[in-house]
Amino acid sequence: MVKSIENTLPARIALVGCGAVSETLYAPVLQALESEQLARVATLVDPSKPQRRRLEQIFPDAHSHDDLTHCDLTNLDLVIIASPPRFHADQTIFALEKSVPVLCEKPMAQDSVQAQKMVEVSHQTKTPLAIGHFRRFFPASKMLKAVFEQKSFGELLNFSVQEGGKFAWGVASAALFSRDSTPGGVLYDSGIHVIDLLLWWLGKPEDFTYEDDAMGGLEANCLLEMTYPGGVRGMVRLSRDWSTQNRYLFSFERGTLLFEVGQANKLNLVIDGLPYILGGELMKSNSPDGTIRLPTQTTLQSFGEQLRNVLRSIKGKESLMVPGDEAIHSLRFIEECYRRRRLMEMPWLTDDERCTAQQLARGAR
Amino acid sequence: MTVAITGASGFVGNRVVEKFYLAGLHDVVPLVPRYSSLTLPARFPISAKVCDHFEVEPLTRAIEGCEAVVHAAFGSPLSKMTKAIYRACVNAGVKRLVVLSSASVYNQNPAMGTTEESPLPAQPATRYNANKIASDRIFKSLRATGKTEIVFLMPGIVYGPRSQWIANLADQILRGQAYLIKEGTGICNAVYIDNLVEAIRLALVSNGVDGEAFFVSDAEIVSWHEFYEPILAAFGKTFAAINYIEPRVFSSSAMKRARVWVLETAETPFAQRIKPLVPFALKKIYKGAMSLSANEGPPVNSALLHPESLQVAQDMNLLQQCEYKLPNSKAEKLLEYRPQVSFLEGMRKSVEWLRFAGYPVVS
Repeated sequence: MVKSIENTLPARIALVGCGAVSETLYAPVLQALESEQLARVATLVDPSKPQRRRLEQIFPDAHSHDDLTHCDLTNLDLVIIASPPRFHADQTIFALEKSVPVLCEKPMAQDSVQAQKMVEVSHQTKTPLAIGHFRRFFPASKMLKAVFEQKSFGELLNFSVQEGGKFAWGVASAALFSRDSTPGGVLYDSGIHVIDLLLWWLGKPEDFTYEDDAMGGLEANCLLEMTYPGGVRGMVRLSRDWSTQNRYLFSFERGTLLFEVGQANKLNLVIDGLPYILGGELMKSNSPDGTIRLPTQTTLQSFGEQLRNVLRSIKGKESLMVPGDEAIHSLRFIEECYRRRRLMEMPWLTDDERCTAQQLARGAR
Repeated sequence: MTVAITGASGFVGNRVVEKFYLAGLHDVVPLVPRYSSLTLPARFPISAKVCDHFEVEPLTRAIEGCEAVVHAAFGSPLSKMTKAIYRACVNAGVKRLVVLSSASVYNQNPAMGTTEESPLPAQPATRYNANKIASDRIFKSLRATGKTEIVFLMPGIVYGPRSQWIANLADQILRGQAYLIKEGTGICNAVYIDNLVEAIRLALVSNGVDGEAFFVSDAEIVSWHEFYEPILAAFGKTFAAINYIEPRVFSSSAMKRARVWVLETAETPFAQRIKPLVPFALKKIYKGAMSLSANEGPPVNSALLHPESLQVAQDMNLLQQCEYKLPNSKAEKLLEYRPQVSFLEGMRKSVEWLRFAGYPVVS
């Protein structure tokens, strides 16, 4: 049974993995939560001393360890797993078995077998397991969810998603680029965000095809084409090689909605026949006529909202937005994509090169 | 032959890796400066190496066992990288180094009759040109005492899949920002990436070319108008979408001159030595000042009239005034270089790449 937390005390948190995600996203949000007395970073875990040291400077009171299994979890209220995905399952299960709730970064595991085990342990120990699909907390994501449910612009006709650019995360190892340490490239790493959102908004497609440019290694580009009930067609193009248009375009019967990546609280509306696009910030109405408006969360604030959701859930105040047994669906979908993989057409390759590329993609070389 | 490629995640370096590996021409060792640059080489089951391109020791370790190196990386301070690359080649016993120099060492608008043996211009037109000239000189002086042979290739406008010339033009066309100077009649010294890779392949194995430099371009004489045409057509547009402008005069303001002086001083060996001792706060102020001084806004009246004013790049301003096709004759004679891909075919592949990359190509 999960330990109960005193509602008034800051939640004591262990941050496992002190890499780029922790430094750029978790650290500022946790600092803000500390300033509000909602959280206290009690433990930092990373096998790399230099990596750990950067976060030790931000959280000087935290205990520092090189391995989660060396930590005493007795007094912890939450473990955040932000290590490379190959460690997610073992670290999550370790914490859950000690009845400590876990917020695990995406992708939740290397495969759905590991993910299923994590979910089962969460159920067996009755300990919350949340997965870091923080884009669901974007006001734009919530708005789109409502538009799909309420059919505000009529039926969805088709959609197209382009996301990605030249990979520029300050990663501290080659783990993301080696088949020995990760099961996939751009689809598995950043595409899981897109897949999670699409499954959340639209459910599972009836059918799909999948192509990528992995030639015996990990894909930098991929193309997913899906069909949904009613003949709705969707296309997803992801890249960590070249800057895409970074936008989600949904065409409805009565207009087109454009969501630009990184614009957590903005949407653009294209209405056929009108001369301009209506681009705007999503606001909360605080008066019946909407003249008094409140701002909504930015990207970093949405990341913070995710942590608040987990903390409130642990205190029994609300349910988890993205529990493990829901996040597992995107991982299963990605596995199915890889099973159906075909080599993307790369028209600049010569015939000889294309032949070798096909052999490499099929694992024949 | 085992060939290491520096800057293997860049436009040229990546295609060298791709072609050499997929066509089975050579064993390749892609070198990249940081983990995040592993994206493209990681598509293959080959082991790319991450190493600081400015330090001799890690470079030496990375290229040990390689018989040749293709140097396609560019970075600042370039002089430091140049020295590190050559010394590492010597230490690792590399037989030949093929250096990707640039036709820009003769400026973007070279004089009629320019050959590889012509004297370099007294006044480099841009900082990039000056850096490339300085780098080539360092390579030549190091070769005087080092054992590794060097061959220089000097391409002009290298286009093809993942080329900035193609992508930037596509972006400009889509944003209504594309322009032609002198109605596009200037000569574009274009070379399709695979033709350059073919020249690199030949430079690795040809005899009697140590210390030589070669212009490399497509077979055809191509105007800038012709260069733009396929990209415009790809988006279903005509030349009506192009802004026709007169050549600009880029004046050198006092701030600009001061900026160049500071940047050049920062690259001197002394400045590089004391760099680790400079406090972080001072470095931040320096970077901020450099960044601010780099942006000279458009004239106020232009900004008032247009939501987005036309940005004319200094190098493009010169390139489009070029009236001379740099000759391939030396490369043809000594390397037996013959462009394998025609300009039209190169452009067709470039447009197909735009479609691959998600641009709204319609034809």
